[in-house]
Amino acid sequence: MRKDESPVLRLILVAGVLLWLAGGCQQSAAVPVSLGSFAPNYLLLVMAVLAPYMSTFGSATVGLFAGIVQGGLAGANLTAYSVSRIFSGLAVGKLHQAELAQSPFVAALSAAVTVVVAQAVLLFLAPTVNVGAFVLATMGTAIYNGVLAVPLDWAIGKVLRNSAHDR
Amino acid sequence: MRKYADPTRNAPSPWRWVAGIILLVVIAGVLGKIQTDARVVNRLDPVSHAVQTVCSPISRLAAGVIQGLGNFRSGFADVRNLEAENRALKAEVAAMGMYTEQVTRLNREVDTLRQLQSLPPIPGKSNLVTEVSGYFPDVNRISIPVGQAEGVRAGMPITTPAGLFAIVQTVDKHSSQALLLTSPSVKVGAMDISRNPPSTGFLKGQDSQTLSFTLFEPKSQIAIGDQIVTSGFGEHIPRGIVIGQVIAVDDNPELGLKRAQVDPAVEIGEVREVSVVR
Repeated sequence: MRKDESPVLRLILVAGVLLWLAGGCQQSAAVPVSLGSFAPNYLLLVMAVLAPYMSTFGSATVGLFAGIVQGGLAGANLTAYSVSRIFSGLAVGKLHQAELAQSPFVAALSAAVTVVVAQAVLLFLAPTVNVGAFVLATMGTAIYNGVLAVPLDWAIGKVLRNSAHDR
Repeated sequence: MRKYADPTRNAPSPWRWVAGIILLVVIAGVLGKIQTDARVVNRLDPVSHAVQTVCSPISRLAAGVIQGLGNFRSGFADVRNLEAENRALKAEVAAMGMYTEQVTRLNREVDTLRQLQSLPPIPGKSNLVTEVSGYFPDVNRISIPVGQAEGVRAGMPITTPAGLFAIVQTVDKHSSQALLLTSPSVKVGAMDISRNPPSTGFLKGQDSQTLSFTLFEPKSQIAIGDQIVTSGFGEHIPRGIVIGQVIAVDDNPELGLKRAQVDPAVEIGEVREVSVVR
């Protein structure tokens, strides 16, 4: 194994494990911890916190897998979920191309943008009857994920710091 | 202050980048096609099956932790209320016992009368008790950990003690997915038992908290507060399962339409244990 492959492999491993954990939690631990229409979306959260360590294409690829996991768990339209998460990955990847300084605000903003873009594209691909409730739920999730992103971003930073500095 | 890594370093050429994104979208489209083909025959596609299998250990673990924390909190904070609730429930169980005896006696009477009329016996239904293993309110779906091997089939109703909750849509060997009653894709035969004779029609999800009941006969009577139950005009859903209560009536004689809004009896967010009526 070449020495410079190690950070990439570590990133893939971390992304895989986080998507696995997020998928399991999304299935059974999203609704019980919701506060009214404020419910977390763990898969979008993982996309957001991994984006700073990846290229835009990498973020989109993580988005594809996040969409497959979320659509597969819910039995919902896989194409709509995957495509919406791919575009969300592109958006959050582009956001981090601006070489933002790490801060809790940036982490929260990144998480909120990921949710808003993903759900906006999803609304376009799979329209819902009650748009008002959907928009309200999206805003709630954006805020919830924004709050959760702050500690998770810090923890991911601890794990991936070395690989990020190597890049 | 630490900066994030520069993801633009060693970025691919624009055409390769666009080709990569198109490839991802094509993969998503192919997966959707596979899923649609499987759903036509009420089966779970292999990708969703794999995802559910891989994620289920974490899901069970997370559900256990959440439930444990919830039980600890409620046990610690509400011990007095729980004692009172326990006493009230015991009284209700005693009353239900008497009611069950009465229902059994009446059913026996119905069977005897059907025999006298030379009518065939009503096919029996049994309840398969299980729990909700996944809950996705944004797409009006739930997962349950029972499937074909346990006798579950597409179209079977899922109930709670309060009433009808969901309808099974796709069935795998040991798991199934169901559409909540509030889903616009669900259509159930229903009737208003507060009227004599009962007004019949079909019911479908309107939004996350309301159902729409369209009457077959626009001249049928219906009013706010009426009780709506399943009509039993189908292969899988038996007659008489509680659906909800009428909260608004929309009478449109010019179009020959009469509709009512129904508040579902089941509080969807609070459901954990359910029964599949086989």
